[in-house]
Amino acid sequence: MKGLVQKFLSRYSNASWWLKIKELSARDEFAKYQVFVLPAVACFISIPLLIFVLLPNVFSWFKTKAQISQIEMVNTALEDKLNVLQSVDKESYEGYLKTSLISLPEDKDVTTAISQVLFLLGSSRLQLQDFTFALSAEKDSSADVSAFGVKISALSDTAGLKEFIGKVKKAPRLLKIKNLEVSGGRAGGSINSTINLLVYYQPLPSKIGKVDESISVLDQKDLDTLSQISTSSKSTPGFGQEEATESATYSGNADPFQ
Amino acid sequence: MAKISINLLPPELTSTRQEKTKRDLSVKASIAFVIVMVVFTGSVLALRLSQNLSLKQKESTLEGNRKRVATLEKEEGLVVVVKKRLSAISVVRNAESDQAQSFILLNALTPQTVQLFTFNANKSDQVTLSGETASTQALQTFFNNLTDPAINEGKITGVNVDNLNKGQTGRIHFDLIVNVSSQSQTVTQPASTSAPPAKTDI
Repeated sequence: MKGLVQKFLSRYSNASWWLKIKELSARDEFAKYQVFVLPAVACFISIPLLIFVLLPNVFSWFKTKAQISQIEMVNTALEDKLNVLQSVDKESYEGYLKTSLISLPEDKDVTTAISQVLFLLGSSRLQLQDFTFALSAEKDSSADVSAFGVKISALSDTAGLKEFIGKVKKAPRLLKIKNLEVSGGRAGGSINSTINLLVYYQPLPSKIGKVDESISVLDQKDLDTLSQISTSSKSTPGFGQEEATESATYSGNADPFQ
Repeated sequence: MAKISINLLPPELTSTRQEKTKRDLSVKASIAFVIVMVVFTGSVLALRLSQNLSLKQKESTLEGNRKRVATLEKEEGLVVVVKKRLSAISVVRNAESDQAQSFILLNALTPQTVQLFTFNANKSDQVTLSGETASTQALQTFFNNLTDPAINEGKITGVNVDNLNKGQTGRIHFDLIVNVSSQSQTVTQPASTSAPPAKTDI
């Protein structure tokens, strides 16, 4: 240390700033206020160090700590998501998707809707008189689904109409009665019903969300819904039933004009 | 024997010594303060450095996890789509058709000898109906069923009589507007001791 000081002195002893400092320190005022000089220098060094280095770094430390906590939370959520996804049986879920598409197809699937409604009418002993459908879509924002309208006019008795109402609720395809008008009864027995049905569908999404978003697998409620759809579709012709494996055999004249 | 001490040093020397002591103390305190500040600043900077290294490591782990999740996008797509679809199905299925429920409700509240001719449920909370009956008592029972919350379980919030007249045949014709509450449920058959039982057919 002493060597360093001597080296410093020998190098800068003739420097103008050093001579200036020596001149100042020889003054009487310096001797009077000498006790305050070094503390002032210490403050001069410490205060900028505190303001420009210490405090900003302390605040940054807290900010970075919060950032690290946030990243750790996201990491944990992603690891949970990974565990969930790795446990997913792809084949089962493809089956679930097919079942859910029976109830809520990705497009209007008008043919299936018509056959479904006709089946419900027939099985409830309603005599169809008029059938129209409007292909303009209606949106149900509460469930984020779309629907198109089907208008039916039918003759039946009250019991048949009630049966139809009950079957609409349990049908494999998602249907809902929007309007109901009933008239008749003067002649006794038959009533004329005009029923406006909503037939639901939901296009498949093009985006599934962000990587960081959590997911949950199907719960018991979902499995019950799938079970209901599966059961009701099995009892309805044309819904999810296995097609006949035998090829159709036709009998009769292949060429009746011969 | 008590010692006698005599200070032969001049007072100037004593004051000089005191000043020197004060000066030395201030020098040492200043140097110590600067050293403490520098050490403290160094520690904070070192902490920040290690924190930044930790942050980089966490970010790297996060990126790795994101990539791993991205490789399972097909599974994720299946789960998300099926879940959303089933939720939508559940919501629609659980939302009762108010019009259908109104029909079942009013059917249950209509006595046997009251004949309904028209039933119109175009709005979710209003039903327009018209009918006839030969019995004033049956009509009274019908109105009672419609207006008594104990019988209709609070499902009917109001009844407006649009038209009420008696024809030449003696049959009483009525046109009613019945306000029903939404999400009405099936009501049990109303109990009536003297009036005819409620019918199930229009």
